[in-house]
Amino acid sequence: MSGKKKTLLKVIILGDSGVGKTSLMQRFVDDKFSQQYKATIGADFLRKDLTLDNNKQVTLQIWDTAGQERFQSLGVAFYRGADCCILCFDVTNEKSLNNLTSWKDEFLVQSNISNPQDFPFIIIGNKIDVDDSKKIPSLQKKLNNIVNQLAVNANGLTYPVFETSAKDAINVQAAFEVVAKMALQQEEINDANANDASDDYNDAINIHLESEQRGCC
Amino acid sequence: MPLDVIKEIPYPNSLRGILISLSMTSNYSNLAIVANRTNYDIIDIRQIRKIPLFQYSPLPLNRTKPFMIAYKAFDSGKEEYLLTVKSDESMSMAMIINSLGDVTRGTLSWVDVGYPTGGIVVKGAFVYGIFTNKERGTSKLVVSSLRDLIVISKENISDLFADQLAGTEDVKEEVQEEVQEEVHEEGHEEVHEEVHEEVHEEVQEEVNEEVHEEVHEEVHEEVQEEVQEEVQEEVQEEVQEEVQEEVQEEVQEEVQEEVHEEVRQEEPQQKEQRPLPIIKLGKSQCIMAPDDDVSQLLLKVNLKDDTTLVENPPLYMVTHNDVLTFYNDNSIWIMAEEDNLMEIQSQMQLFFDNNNNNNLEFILRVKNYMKSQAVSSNIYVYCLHIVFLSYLYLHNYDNAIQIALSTAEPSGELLISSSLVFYLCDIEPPGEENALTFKGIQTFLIRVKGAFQNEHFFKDYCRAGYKQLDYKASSVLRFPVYNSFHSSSEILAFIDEEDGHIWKDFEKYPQNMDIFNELQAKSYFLAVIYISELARKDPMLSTERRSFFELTIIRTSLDLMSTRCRDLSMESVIQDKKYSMNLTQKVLDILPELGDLKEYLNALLELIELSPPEGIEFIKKHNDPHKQTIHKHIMDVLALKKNHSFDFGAIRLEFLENSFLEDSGNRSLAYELLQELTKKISTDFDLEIIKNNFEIIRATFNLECSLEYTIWPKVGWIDYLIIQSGKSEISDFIIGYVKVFELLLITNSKEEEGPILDLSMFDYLTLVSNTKEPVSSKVAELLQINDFSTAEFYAIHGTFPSPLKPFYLKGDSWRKEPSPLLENVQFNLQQILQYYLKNLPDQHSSLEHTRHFVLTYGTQFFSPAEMLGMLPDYTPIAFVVSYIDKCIIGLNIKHEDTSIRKSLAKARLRQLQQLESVFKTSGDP
Ligand SMILES: Nc1nc2c(ncn2[C@@H]2O[C@H](COP(=O)(O)OP(=O)(O)OP(=O)(O)O)[C@@H](O)[C@H]2O)c(=O)[nH]1
Ligand SMILES: [Mg+2]
Repeated sequence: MSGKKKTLLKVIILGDSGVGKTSLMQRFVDDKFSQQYKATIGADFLRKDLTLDNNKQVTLQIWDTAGQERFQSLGVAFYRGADCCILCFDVTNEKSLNNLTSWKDEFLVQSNISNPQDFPFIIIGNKIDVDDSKKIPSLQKKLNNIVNQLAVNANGLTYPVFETSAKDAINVQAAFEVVAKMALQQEEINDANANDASDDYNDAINIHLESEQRGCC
Repeated sequence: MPLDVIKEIPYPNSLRGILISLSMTSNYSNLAIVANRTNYDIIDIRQIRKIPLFQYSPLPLNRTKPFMIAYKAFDSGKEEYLLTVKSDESMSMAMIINSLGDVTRGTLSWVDVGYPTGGIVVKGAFVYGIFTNKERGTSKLVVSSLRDLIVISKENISDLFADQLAGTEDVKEEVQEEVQEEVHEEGHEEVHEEVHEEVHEEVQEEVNEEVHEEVHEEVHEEVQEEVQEEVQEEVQEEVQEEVQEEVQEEVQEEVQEEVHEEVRQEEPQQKEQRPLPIIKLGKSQCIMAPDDDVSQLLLKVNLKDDTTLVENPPLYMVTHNDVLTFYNDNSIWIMAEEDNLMEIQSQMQLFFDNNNNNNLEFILRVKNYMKSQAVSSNIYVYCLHIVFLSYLYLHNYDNAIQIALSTAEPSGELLISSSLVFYLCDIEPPGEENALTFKGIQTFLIRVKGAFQNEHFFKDYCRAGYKQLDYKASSVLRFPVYNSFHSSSEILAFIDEEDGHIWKDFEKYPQNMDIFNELQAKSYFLAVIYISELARKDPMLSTERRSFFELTIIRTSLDLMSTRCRDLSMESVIQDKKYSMNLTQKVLDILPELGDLKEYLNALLELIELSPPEGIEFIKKHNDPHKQTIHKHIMDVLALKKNHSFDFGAIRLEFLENSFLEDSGNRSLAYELLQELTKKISTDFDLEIIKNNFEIIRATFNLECSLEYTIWPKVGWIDYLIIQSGKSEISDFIIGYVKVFELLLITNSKEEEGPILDLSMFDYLTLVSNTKEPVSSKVAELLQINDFSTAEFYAIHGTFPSPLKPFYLKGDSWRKEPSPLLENVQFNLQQILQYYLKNLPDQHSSLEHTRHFVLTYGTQFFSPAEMLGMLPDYTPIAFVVSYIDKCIIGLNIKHEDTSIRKSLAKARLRQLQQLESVFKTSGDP
């Protein structure tokens, strides 16, 4: 019998359609890659067990979401209870980089995170294997801008950035290890906060109030 | 059931809702999943609050009907809720959440089929949805897998019935039967059905949900929508009312079911080849509910033309054994679940009827079918039974066992109850529990029971089961497993492999004692011993149990050693080096622990008889004071038994000796030792040979210690013997002799009757033992045999001296008190002196002995006058003077009165005068 229960950490991958969210997850969990693009509809998750440096055993539950807008709107259900969020862009697609801010905001709005400024995000620029000519011109500069912009709320500290290739398995493992560590930290904070109010529904809305307000309108 | 509104919760624009945990028996629910026009929410009824979930329809105005399906997950067994979500006109999804609103699986997505307006059912690992395309007027049945979250089949419903049209007449009777036999299982599960019917117009209706116990809340649903489901069919058959009709019409209805039973599935693998026989409409069988009989009576009939007046013909729905029947006054539709199970059932019958013994195909088919069922659902379990029985019927026991041992996850319970197997094998099940099984397999059970030979099957089943299952599930098999063994060696091997830990935890499992008793009753003695040893390792074992097992080990071991009992495995187990079955060792190990002294005694006694060297060794090692009496008793008993091969006399002697050395004041012990010793002397030695040697020693003593030799001190007879024993051939005898002597000295004082050793060589000992003889005669006898030292000692003390190097008489503790001086010491000593003087060959030697005597006893026992008076005239002056000086010194020290001093002085004077005359007569200067 194993003594301690493994900690389950919920991780969400967000980003524009086609940036390689599904590919990153599959590379990390199953070490597989497919050239073929099949848009994710709704969301799905995979699990992976990890042992961190401090010998701590964790299970990552990685939620891969749809980048396409028409498959969204379900956010709140998936985001609930997330311990870390991966913001993903494609190094050949400038728009996907620029959209990171709105992905982050969307996540914070929907997820009902109690301390948004402390919530761990990580930024992944995927597809670095492609030819430099195809990459966003002066990527680093633009990336820095975005990263600084994203971090405005985060006490001035910037979020970690990883440049990866799901195709060639570059940096994927490393990125997810950092994700796991950040998620674990977040989970521990959540646990500590959850001690006093053991309510499963922290995002509940009192209906009395709601109806009264409506009543007077 | 009247409903009370006890709480009203404002939830505007609500459409429908379900209570969470409907199928959970223990708790009524405080939570409901509800939908308003756009969103799903969870409502906490107790705390009156809302937990928002998500939007299910992108456009509020576009009427989308929300579906919230509660079901038990095929894998986790936990309740889950499938909520449908419309993405756009062509696409939809389903979210799967738990009662906390957390997403438990990925989304199911339906691309290009629209939204499941016709309803959704979850059954096992599959989701069935009716997707209706309004424009094209077609409906599709889409089957998706919850396991892989993919669509596995899409069929046009009209196609599904194509093949149905052909053979409807033939199947009529069959169906009739089926309807009756129709799956009785899962009757215990709640069946929730909601049927929404909308004919011609939109209807507002309230759906009341009833929970068995208490309805806490009425969930108001306003269903205001139009749902079109087209069911096209052609039915051609007879109905009860003798109405033969062709029905080909559109029925607008919506059936939303939460029935755990209703739909049959298709093998995912076979999706291409076979259409899904999902809903067989058109097989008519009217099932009239009582109400409808009544309504028949109440129908209005036009007396003029004999026609029945139909006002607004209603559509009825009746359920019977999970068969749904819809009818109005001129049409009938029936939704019977013709589950594949029925097909399997009839194939099973065939299988049994024309048994060609390699028909595994049927079993494969059943197994395949099972894959589509939720594990541990009733249908699944039913099929498992069928497979099991089929294997048995084919005498394929290995597979049968494997099937019989399938368990439910995660409870670990057997899906095929062991009592069924017991029943099949005609073995009385150990528990009192009811043996319930499916009605559908009853007839097969009887046939299987008659057909298979169960000898090995049952045994193997129990053992395999016991091996595989956790204790809870397997405990009923444990007794039969032990019952199935035919030898101790089998049992030992089994315990070693499987069951050791249970025995070591003896107290925790009440069964242990029963099994133990059974094994004992069956004479598996080695197993009994082995188990007892394991049980002793249980730290929680009660004291009584502990001693019980200790005793069992000892008794059983001794029983086996003595061959009072036999265990046929004995040889094989001993040869198998794995087990230490050294029974003697086992007894030796546990004996010291044994608290019950009587048992201890008996066990040890027997052990010594069976295995003397070890037993004796044991006694020597464990001869602590409180066991001594027992050990002594053992020796006594053993000594009485003559017919043993071992020399218990010697052992007893040794034992007594040791005991006596520890407790040398114990005279009765000394007496017993004496008895044993004399017995040993008379039995152990060839006394004829001894006698010769002994006489030689005696003769030498006589010579060496005769008065001719004037050197004092003279060695006594006993010490002489001891000195001689070192070089003698009969040293053992001598030692015994001396020991007897010592013991006689001790026992003497107790006046016990001494042993009679009637040979002449024991004369001396007789002398010692004879206490009645007066001192003087004893002294005389001692003098006679030249034992002068002893005689002198005896004369003073009235007893014999202990040897210089005694065996037993270490210290003086053996004497009650320090030997007192006798009253007539003077007389006795005088007697000795006279003997010396009389028996001497010449004056010279006489003088030497006198000198010894005077110097040794002169001052202590005699006054100078008495002493001098005893001396012969020829005593030399110098010798006398030195004696007198000694006396004067002694007196001076003591300050004796002057008269004595004067008389001494006179005596001296007289001696000097004598000296003078001697000089004169001799003429020497
Ligand atoms: N060259 C290269 N191509 C990649 C890489 N990662 C993903 N791709 C390709 O990019 C395309 C999109 O990848 P997905 O992983 O499906 O993208 P996604 O973010 O999941 O897209 P949505 O599911 O629509 O949100 C696929 O054709 C992948 O083969 C990469 O590291 N390098
Ligand atoms: Mg994707």
